[in-house]
Amino acid sequence: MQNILTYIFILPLIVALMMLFIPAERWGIFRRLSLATVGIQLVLAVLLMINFDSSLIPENWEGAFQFVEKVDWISMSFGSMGSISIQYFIGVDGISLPLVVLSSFVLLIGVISSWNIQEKAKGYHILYLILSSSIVGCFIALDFFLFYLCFEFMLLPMFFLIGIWGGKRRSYASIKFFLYTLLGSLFILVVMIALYLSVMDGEVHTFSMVKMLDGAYASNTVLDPGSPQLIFGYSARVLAFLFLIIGFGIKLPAVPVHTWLPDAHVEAPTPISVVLAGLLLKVGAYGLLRIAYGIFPDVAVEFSGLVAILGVISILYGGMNALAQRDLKRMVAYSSVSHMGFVLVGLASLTAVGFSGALFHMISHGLISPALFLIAGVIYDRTGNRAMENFSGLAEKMPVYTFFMAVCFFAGLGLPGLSGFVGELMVLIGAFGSDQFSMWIGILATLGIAISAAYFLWTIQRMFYGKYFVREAAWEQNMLDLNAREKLMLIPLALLIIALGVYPRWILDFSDETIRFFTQQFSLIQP
Amino acid sequence: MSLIEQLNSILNELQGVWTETALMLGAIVTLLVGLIKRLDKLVIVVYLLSIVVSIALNYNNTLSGSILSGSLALSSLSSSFGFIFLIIGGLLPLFGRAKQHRTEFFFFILAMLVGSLFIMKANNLLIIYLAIELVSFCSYILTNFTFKEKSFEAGIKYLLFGAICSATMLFGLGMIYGATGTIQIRGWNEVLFSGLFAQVGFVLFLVGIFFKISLAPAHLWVPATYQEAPADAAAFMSIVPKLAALVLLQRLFNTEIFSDDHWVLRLVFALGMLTIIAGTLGAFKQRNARRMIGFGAIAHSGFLLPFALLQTTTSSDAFWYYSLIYGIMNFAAFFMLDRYEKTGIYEVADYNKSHKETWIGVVFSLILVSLVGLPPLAGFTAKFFLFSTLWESGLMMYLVVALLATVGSLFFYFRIPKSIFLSAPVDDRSINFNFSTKILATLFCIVLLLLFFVPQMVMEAQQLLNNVHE
Repeated sequence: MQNILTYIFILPLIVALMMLFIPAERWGIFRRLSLATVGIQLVLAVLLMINFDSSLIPENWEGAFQFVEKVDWISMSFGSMGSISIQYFIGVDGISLPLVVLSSFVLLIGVISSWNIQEKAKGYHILYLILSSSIVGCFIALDFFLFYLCFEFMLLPMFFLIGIWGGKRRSYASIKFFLYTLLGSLFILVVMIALYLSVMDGEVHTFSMVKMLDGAYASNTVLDPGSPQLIFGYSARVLAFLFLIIGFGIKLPAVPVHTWLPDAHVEAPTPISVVLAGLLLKVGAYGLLRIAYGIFPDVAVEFSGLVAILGVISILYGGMNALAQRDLKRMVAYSSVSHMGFVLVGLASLTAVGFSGALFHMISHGLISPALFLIAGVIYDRTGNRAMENFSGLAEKMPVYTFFMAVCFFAGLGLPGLSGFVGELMVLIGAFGSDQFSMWIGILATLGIAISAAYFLWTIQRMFYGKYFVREAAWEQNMLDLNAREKLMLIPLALLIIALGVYPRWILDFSDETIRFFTQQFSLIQP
Repeated sequence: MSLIEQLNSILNELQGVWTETALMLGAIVTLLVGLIKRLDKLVIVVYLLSIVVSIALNYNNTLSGSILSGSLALSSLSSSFGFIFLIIGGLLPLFGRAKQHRTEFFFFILAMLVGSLFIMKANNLLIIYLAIELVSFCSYILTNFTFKEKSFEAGIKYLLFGAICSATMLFGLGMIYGATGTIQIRGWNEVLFSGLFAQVGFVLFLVGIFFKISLAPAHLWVPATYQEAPADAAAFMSIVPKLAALVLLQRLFNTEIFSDDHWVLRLVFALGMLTIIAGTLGAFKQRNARRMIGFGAIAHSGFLLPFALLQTTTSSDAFWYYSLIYGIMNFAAFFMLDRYEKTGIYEVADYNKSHKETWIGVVFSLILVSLVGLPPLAGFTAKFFLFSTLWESGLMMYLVVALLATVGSLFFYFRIPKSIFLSAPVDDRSINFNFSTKILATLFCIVLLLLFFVPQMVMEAQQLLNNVHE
């Protein structure tokens, strides 16, 4: 139990290394190994959840984390910075724990979804396992350097996974994804350097996020709140916060830096879309929550109006775009943009309920969007086509498929009783109750829900109701209902979506104390 | 001081140039051995032997500061960079040069090593000039060593461009001498350079150094030369003379003849940014892979420049790390390019023919990832130190340019992996790599990975190798 986080983190890497030595011809073995690895990861994550003490009331960030492991990694003397010390420092609190569990679960769904990939299976599964390790690494890292390492290291496997196993314009989409996210992460890198030069652990500079969260600034350094230093005429803390908003905003993605997402989603193979929507976007949201809001609460108070406006624009613009799409997968991709806007609004509210809502919405979207992409993948697998106008009346021919589609679509549009509703409701309560911005933010965000209802319901009407029709006769024979493997993926997802919708405290109980402590930081700053 | 004492001190100070002496002797012996037909297998042995002896002599040298009546200056920097040069030189036979003209090739490489070591140590304007010319002349000849029309053309262009730069530099040296009345750098001070005449002379003098560093606008010779020269010569030229000139630059600015916001310094920083931009943008549209990497190397000159200008301890530590990693990365990249060229792949678009060679493709991609500066490869740590140095010294504009160029460099470096893995595959059965190539490529990659995870090794190596303490 002591090193459980390390096992979760390292296991996929070790298996990936082992895979290098298995001949590529025996392609069947790779998927089994992947499944076993991610399965064990999930079991460990559940064990983690069971052993997590959710009643712990933190007094400072130092005491907020559990399952902490800390080992010195790099320690070298470097110029006038004194000694550089980078630690292998991991742990979870009430915010990251649900995300770790979600990651292992979605990664498992992803492996099942990639069961039929035969072409270059060796490379695929090695990259997939490296990806899964770095995603989990992002959520558990408590050393900024380690976080950044994992954050960057997601890009390479993702680039190749989209670029090699993707659709027609995969080359364009993958390089666009890579360039956008790299630009974002360089913004984060600058902030990381500035933080490192400002934060001290005793006598040495440190990358420890815990120290950064607790605000252990050395006096008169760039990011010290009391320091009068200006860069290009702005306070360094304000610049750092804005850099983080840009950096994680690209990953989130927030309008106007969202344009890589639809392309990446449309070109990516279904399992990679599942991981991309389910987890990679959450890494962006988690970074905003933990780093931008956690380390710079004083600036966050100043700029919450801006973040809220960004969020509302994402909600509305993403929704409008989704409404206009004719490709099912592209529609789902834009709905992700719209939904991630709610996370921004929840964060900007700076209230406990808004924060919980944002976190809950992350989890719930992490279940709904993979399901939606699987739904889109089902049609694509059968026909090689996803254009909405090519299908109609599918309910008649594929009733089980239609049932799961309905669960996911209704969860997406926020029907009470399903998980999507809870998150959106809490975010809206937070937004209306917040004194950071005017009522209009809440009103417009609510309008976003109406838009999401419009595009989801319209899609149902166009594709599933009416007279049965598919564009090409050749597709006819393939239009079979869900097979066992597809059910195996959709049933657990649907069950969890319903379970969380009915009993949201299941997640919220874990994060309550951490978020209460988190939001206290803001009330301390506000007069 | 009596004559005997003077002679003794000169004899004692000669140990500072033993490395160069050994290399020169080695060069001559190489040439002689090569003349005898029956002994030409020994050429590589003699070459490697002279490198090993020079490394040992470099290690044994404990002298520092100004020696030989101020004509040379030794520092821990010149000593530790000497190791990089000699090791890069020692690795050159890995390219597997064919028998023809091997003797001459290694002779010129040894001569270039001597020149590069003298560039770093020279503390006298005339010695600087001679050392730079020695390196330049060897480069002109080596560029032509594929004996094809194209490389002859590149060599002539290089020669003409170099001649102009060297003339400008000589003119600048004259102006400096006129203004200051000394050719010894140790005699320089702020007062001597307070006049515009001396400052302009200094800038003209810098032209010759910038030519060696390939700093914009003196970078124009680089793409054609790197493309047409033999790969081993290009690898050597892109690393050794460049770093040597940077060390020299570091020492020139260490004299503190200019204050921090002096226009000369601002000009050089501006040129550094220009170099980064020119290298990155220039690489975008290139079709030839080697030419593209050549433009990338120009951008790297711009990344390296601040280390030579900033006089902080952070900067000098980062200088060492970045240079070593740059040397390894660039050497590995040219090595891979050479191997691909031997199978007939020259253009970026042709790399899709090699898609069957997955392992080599992966390793080459990782080396390119390191050149971009992404974790978990040592190139990231190097960039990280660069950004830290820039941030610490408050060079925000430079930092912004470097960040954006890093994104841009991803775009062009990744055209090669994109071509190998992502574009429509073309089957070409003739393309395969031998086992030793795979092993070597993997080793380069492992070194780059290792130095990311334990960067302290690089710093400890500097402490360990260095017997020169100031």
